[in-house]
Amino acid sequence: MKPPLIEAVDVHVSFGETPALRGASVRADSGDFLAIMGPSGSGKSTLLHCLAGIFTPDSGEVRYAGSRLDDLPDKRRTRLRRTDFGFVFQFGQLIPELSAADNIAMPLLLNGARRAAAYRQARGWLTRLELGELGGRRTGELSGGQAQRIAIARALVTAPRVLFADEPTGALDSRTGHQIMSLLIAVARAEGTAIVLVTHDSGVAGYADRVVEVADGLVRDAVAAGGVR
Amino acid sequence: MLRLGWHFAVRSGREGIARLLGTAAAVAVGVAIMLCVLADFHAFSVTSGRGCWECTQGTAVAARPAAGRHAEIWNYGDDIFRGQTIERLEVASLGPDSPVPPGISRLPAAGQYYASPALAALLRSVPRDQLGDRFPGRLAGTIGDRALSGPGELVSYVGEPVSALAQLPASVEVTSIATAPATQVWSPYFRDAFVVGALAFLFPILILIGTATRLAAARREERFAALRLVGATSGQISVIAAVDAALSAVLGAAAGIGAFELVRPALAHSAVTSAHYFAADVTPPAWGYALMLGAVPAAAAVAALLSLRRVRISPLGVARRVTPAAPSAWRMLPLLAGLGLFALGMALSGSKSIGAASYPGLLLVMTGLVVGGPWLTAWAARIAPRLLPGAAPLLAGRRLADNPKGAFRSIRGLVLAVFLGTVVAGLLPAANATTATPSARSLSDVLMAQFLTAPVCGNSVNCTGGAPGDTLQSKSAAEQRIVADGLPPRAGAALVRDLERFRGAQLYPVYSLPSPARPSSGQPSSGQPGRGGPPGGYTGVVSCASVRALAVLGSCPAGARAIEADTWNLYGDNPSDTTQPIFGPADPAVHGGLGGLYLQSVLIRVRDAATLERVRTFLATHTPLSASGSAPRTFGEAVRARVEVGDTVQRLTDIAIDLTLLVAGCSLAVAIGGGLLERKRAFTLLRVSGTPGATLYRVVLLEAAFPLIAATVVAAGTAYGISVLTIDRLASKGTPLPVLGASYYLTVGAGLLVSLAVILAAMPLLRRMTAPANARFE
Repeated sequence: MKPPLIEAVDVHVSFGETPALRGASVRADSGDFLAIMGPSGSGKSTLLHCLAGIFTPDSGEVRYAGSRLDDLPDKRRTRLRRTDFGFVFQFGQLIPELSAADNIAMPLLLNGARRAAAYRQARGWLTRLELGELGGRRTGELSGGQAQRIAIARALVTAPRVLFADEPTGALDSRTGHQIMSLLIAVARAEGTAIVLVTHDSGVAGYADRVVEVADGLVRDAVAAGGVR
Repeated sequence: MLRLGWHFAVRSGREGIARLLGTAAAVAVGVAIMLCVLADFHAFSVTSGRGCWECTQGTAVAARPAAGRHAEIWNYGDDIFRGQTIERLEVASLGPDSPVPPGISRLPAAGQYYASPALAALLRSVPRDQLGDRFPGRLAGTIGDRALSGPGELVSYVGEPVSALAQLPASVEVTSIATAPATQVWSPYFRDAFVVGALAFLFPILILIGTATRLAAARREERFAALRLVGATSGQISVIAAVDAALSAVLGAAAGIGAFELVRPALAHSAVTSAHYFAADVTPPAWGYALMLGAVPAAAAVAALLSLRRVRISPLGVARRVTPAAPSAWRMLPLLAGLGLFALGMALSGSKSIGAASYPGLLLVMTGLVVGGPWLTAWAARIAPRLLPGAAPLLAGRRLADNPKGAFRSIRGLVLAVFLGTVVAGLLPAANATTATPSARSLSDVLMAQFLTAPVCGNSVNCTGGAPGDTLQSKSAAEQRIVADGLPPRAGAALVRDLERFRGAQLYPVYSLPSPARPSSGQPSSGQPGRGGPPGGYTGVVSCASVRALAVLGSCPAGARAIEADTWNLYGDNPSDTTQPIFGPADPAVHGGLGGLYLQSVLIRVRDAATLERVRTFLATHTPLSASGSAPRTFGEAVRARVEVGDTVQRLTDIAIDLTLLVAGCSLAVAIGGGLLERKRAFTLLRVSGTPGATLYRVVLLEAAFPLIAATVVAAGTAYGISVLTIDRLASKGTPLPVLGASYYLTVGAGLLVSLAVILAAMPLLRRMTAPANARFE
């Protein structure tokens, strides 16, 4: 049987005396769109960070493509983030001093790609996301929606197998949020990338194939989602 | 990564450029100051390492020196004009291959002289009877730089006939000229002071570079976190940070070198150590430039890497590795220990020596001020909001209490400068007061010319310690008598007659009492047993009319016309000793005429500077038999020569304080600017939520003012206490408590005002930055 692309098994995480996850388990396969829902402070972002190898759980396991991720050294996990994972967060986490094209090319450059090739790909993504004219603009000068589209391009430029998104529409109005979600799903599907998305918004969760709910550090249940709108 | 580092440094928009320029400017100031220190040190080293031709030793001159030898007659001494020392070498060749002193190609013939460029210029600008007549004959040329320690040095090589020069008691025969550097009294102290000073500058400059490197660090670290999120390793982040910092530092180092080159001509003329150096010498060695271009960027890169170590940059953001713990009162321990050690050293000090524990005590006090500063800052942060009303003190206090160490970092240079400035300002006036005593001041217009041998060569910073009497063992009995007692009666009487004819000059001759036993060493005779004089003291006779005119030197017994006394003290180099009373009613009266006695010295009260120089010129040209190697000088000039050493120390300290204040001011500016950039969001939020702009200005002002005032008061108080303790132990009884003079308040006040101006200069930035219209939250 083929192992899940990414899974967390009985994960516990505490911050000091405060437990964030108390035995959370979740899995996603290639091409899946998994939404993790829950109220503020429920531990959903912590779960996402564990799955992405950003946090190391106190106990339990995180596996990626059948191999333990949680016990990899930081260097290996950093490499995975560069090659296999992509990230879109609420505020994009773009580097405002760099241009849109620089930001998109950055993971490729960090990965050792040749400069010309990296920027060719970046320009390709800018065109694909209809941002061609913004390539030279610094991201600090872009609107929230534009910045998120750049973040999506940056996340997908390395053709990752998993895209982690933490409240990607949290700072956007509903119309722009809808556009971003549509774009995210379309592009991820086209690339065959799995999506693990954290949100407290049931509307956003409604885009997912599968939804799990985290409350008080536990993954309580999994509900079938309504499919992609 | 190098390219990315470059990108971050130069293509990061206005904020990035501002950070780059701010860091570069801060580094440039530090580099320029360091180069100035290195340049002056280099000039000082070159000058003090110059071959000391003045130290040339010779042998006694034969009564009839044989000609045709590789030798010459050499008579070296000092002269003085308007307080400036003129080195005067009288020389007579004994053969065609006589050694030639540096700076000229051949010895001056009799009737010729060479002069240094400064002396030649002086000779052209003043009346002959005040100076030119001291150099009879024709100016054959100027003396080259090899013989001189600086462009302002006054030196003459005067050619004399062999027969005339050989007769002078101070003449020696020389076969080779010394080329080794002089063993100078003050050089080691100045060298040590330079090294300590350079290190002292290095400290605040490194703080400045470190502070500048940390400019807007929090925002940069957020960028690094974003890079980590997309897969950059910690090593790659380090490379980016190091390149970013090093690039700014390279730019700053280059700008600093440029700035130094601009000020170098002025530095060459500044005479920091009271000596003008040749401009070509006032330059750092090549390694100095290399150090600035190589080590400063490296230091900046290391500072950047060290600052990264204090934070953990995760893909999700930046976490301070440790929340700075509140500084404990134990931080004051080094300061208290230093004060205790210093007090112990003082307790073990006598009037002539300082207890060894004082020095480490002083260093420990300075270290203690730096170590204890954060505790004082935290204390001020706690106390001030209780004493001052309003929200601003509260906000400033909370911010300071959160990281007092960081708050104090930018002002610790200022605190050290205030400490050093207060110590020097407290001690130097007291030190000068011990020289410029009231009795010395009352004799400031009195010229003293002695004719017996001088036991010291005067209070010159470049004193070589040589005395012409050292080589007189084989002189004739008549010459040994001159060495011991002064001018023979006939020559003395003629001189007295001539001097009495000078308008504007009052003459007070001092004669030597005939002594039955003369030592063979050329040293003067001892005083009479039981008189309390030191071994080798001089016994002088002075008319009571002279004693009345020079009342500070004592008084005569009633009815006496002349008095006999030990005149040893009169010929020292410390005016506080030479102007002590030496005559008293208990001293024996001398009966009979004084005309038959040897003339030991003359004291001449002169009306004005022109008369002084005319008299001095007359003495220089009419006392060929004098055995003294010291030029006639007034007591006022002797005081000035001593005070000048103190003034040099004062000047060096003032420069050090001013430069330290400058560096510390830059640190403060960088820290405040950086702090504003870091807290842009917090300040904007406060403005948006209705906090008046004036309140925010007060917050920024108070954040700098609280630690500055607290630490400065403690530093100044500690320094003043040290000065009082030192004076109490080392100065003579009755020396008043030190009063900090106007220059102190000017220097320290100006420094604090500059700091205040620096803080206020940041206000427009704060106003613009926090304008609600500019509110943007990422």
